[in-house]
Amino acid sequence: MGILERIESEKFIFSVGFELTPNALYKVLLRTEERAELMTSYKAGIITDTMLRCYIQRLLRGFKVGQRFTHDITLSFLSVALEPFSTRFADEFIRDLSKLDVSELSISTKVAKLCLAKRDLLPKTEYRKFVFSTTAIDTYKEIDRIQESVDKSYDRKNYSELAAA
Amino acid sequence: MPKLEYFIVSEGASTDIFTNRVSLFNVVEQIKSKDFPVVLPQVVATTAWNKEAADTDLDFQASLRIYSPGEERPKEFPINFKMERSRHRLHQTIIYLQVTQVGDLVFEILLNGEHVASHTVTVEKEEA
Repeated sequence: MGILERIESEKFIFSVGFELTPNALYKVLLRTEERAELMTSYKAGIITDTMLRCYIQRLLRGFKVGQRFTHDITLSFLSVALEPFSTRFADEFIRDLSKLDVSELSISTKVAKLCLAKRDLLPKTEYRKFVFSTTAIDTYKEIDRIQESVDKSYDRKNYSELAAA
Repeated sequence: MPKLEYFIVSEGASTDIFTNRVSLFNVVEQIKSKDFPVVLPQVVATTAWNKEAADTDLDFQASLRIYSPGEERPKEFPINFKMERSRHRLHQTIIYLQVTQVGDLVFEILLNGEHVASHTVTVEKEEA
């Protein structure tokens, strides 16, 4: 059984403990073997963002208004497993889940809030690219143009030398 | 106002999305060239800012100013950011940096228009 199938199984959910407070559940999930396994698979690219997105969409198909969500623990688990990663998907998933205010997902939304608080202790990185000088780009283009004409003349020279020979 | 933890100019920089560790490659300290102008394909100015208690939800502008030897006016590359976390890193990548003559190439970082730090690179002529 693969890791994604295992974390939605009853065996996993009962091993974690169904009636824990969000704080206690967070601590229990941190120590699970499954978390280490999922993190390794995610890091290695065996489990991708697309796979996780499809997996979560499939779980959410079982959502019924007024009923406790069957996969609440699994979503909590995913928050805890993805918490250390700075990928866009991890950020989006944890942030979106923490913002939800629905009684059916009472545990996972609170666990996601805890994860988000932990993530906020990690540095955020922003990137921006600027072009210093368009003249430099023109210079590069000019170098390429000269190089091209040199190559062509070299080819022609070689060709004429060959022809003369 | 956020406090600067470090400011370094290098040829490359990356942040590992899995470990969130930053790596800087080839810190730029000195440029030697036989001919001028010389063009640096890429330099990255990396700054790391620490959040102060009153910084939440405020907008800040970190501006990178480059004083190239022989140029009358510096070039400025601003970036706006919010201190959403306790530390915020900025990678300002400059491509095709052109230096026309020997002298000091100065990278200055300003926060909301005020000088915070600078990084000087010595540009020298390499004898043939």
